[in-house]
Amino acid sequence: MEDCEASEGLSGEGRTSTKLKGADESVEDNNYLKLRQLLLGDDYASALNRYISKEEDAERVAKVLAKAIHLSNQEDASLGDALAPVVDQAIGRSIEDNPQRITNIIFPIMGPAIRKAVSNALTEMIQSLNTLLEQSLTLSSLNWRVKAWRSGIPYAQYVLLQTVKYRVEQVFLVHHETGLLLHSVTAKEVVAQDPELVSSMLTAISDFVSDSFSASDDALRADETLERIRFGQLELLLFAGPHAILALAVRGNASDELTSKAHRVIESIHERYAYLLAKFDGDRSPFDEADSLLSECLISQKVAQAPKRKPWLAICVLVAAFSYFCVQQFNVYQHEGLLEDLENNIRQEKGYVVLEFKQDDTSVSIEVLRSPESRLPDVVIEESNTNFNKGTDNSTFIKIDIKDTVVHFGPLPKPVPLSQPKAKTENELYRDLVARVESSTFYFEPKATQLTQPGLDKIPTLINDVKTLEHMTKRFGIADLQIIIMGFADNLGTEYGNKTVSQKRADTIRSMLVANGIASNIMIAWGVGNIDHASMAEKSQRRVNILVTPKLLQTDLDSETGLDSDPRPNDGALK
Amino acid sequence: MTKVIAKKICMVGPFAVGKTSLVKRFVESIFSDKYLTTIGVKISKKIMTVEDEQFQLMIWDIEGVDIFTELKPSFLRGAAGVFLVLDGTRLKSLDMAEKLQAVIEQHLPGVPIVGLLNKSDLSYEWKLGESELEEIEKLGIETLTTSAKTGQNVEEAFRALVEKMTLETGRV
Repeated sequence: MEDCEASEGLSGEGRTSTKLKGADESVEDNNYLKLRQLLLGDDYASALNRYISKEEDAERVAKVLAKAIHLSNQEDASLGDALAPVVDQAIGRSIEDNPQRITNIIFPIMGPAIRKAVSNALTEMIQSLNTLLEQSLTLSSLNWRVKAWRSGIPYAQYVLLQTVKYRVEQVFLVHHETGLLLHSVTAKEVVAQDPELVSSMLTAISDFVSDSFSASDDALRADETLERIRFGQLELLLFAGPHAILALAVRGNASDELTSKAHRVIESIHERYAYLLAKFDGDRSPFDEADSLLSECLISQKVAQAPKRKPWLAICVLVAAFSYFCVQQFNVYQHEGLLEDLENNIRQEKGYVVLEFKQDDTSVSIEVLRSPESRLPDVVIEESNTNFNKGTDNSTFIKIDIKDTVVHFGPLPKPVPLSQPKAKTENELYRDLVARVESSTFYFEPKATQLTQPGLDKIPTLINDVKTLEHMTKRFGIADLQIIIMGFADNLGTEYGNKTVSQKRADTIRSMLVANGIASNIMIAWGVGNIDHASMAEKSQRRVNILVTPKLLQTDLDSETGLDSDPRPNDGALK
Repeated sequence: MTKVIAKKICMVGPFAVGKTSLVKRFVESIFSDKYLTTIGVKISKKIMTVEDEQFQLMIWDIEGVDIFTELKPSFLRGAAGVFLVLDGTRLKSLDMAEKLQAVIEQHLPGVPIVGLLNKSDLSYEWKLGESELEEIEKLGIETLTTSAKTGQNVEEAFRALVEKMTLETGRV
């Protein structure tokens, strides 16, 4: 009976929808309607509504949705799997519709990330440059080259071994059950063995060890796995999970940081590939995605600063040597300058005449003449020496040796130093010669133009003297030697006659000199005529005088004496 | 890139039946008369193409078994196929076949086993008669007569095992 009713009820409900849409109502349907109303009472309308309306459904679901998701999450991850494509699509759509929005969201994350990446890259570059520089030209690098050559390893690899505290060379992800390699990554510049064989052998070794040494109880054995194998500088670290083993080949001493990282990696691999690992059938392609995870383990830690100390010592020595050299050079320079100052000071000291100033590396010897009223040489040196002592201690090694002679110079403090006598005599000789030549006067008989015997006797001396003059001026590079031969006449007779006769008298002397080998171009014969005062004796008026220019060899020397000696003939010439 | 399926294969058998030589012949095409006893396990790798599929075989050449050393089951773990290698010139090697098969089936249930009667080149010393072959047949495993020296049936044996393995996975 119950069954029948239930079926009837069901069929009735099944027809409700048709009935609502349908136009004609049967009597039977009416009965059902009544029954429903009896059963549901006032709620009938709302119940019907609830059944038809989707809105109420939505409301109901909305109320429990959050809780439902929460519960589902607690149970398993199936909801996430189911939602993943939807969420993925939604995000895709969202970005397509409004890229600006996503840009704005990402911006604050991207900026720092990019900066960090760039700065990391730069630091790495600088570090590698530094290492290169450090290792290319140091003593230790030579040493390493020899050692690398002896042990038959490429130099680059040896440098790595020396500079890296530890370095993960290879990472293997091995399937626990079969010992097959799921995936592996290898560090750059590492010569790797066949990773598949390595991983299989690793499993075999691990099995062998646990077979040989572990408890025979299989349940216990599952927990006990080989954790590390060490040979030489290489260490194999094994991190076992339930389905896979992460094996790291590490050169050097691995740090705790590496161990904890490896644990995290094997955990996340199990999390991500749990199903694939459990059902592994030899197809390894899905594990290629684990590449980035495994690469995280390829880390290395450099040796801290150890090789840096060496260059410091060398730099210190170099700097010290260089500064010592500089100081020395400066001292020498300063020392020379001070000595020069000393010399100048002594030379400029009033009443001092320096005869000698000699210096060598360790001593200075000075010889001076000084007037009685001048200061003592010790005082003068002391004055200069204050500078010396201010300089460096080196000055103490210089012995200043001064020899002074007190000389009474008379009223003029001007000394006649011994250093100048040579030039003086040369000039004096010249001046004497000039005086002698100019003093030689030739007298003539009235109206005569030829010399008498006493005049002729003077000629050889004159020729000699003029020749010497010529020679001396040539030696001193004076080109303008000029000898003016002036003929004079007495006051008797006509002016014309006097002029002629005086010219002839001058010519006579000139021709005699020319005939005796004196250059004609330095001599001028000039008939002056009669110019003398009447008071002069007539006999003295008939004569030839000789005038020489220049008067001195060195015009800048002692002009007083030069001018003093013969002003008279000059004056005569000007008149 | 074609998909490469990695599989583990084990060579099991009494000592000095030629397991290592068979692997060497298969992997490197080399044969040497010199006897080198395997201690523990030696692993080799070979890529093989069967029915358009590439297989990377990791061949575990397990040390020979005698009355003093037992087969270490941990080496078998995860294997997809096993060769039970016997020496056709030494009847004693056949005695252990049954025991070994039991161990294999205990640890690797449902994994295909191929029996290899090795050293077929030594025809004068060949000891297997009808009765022995019958006994082997009783084990219920496919057997092949091989020679690591001449290379007879070596490639074929591996191919047969891989084919059985693919059938096995197909069935599972």
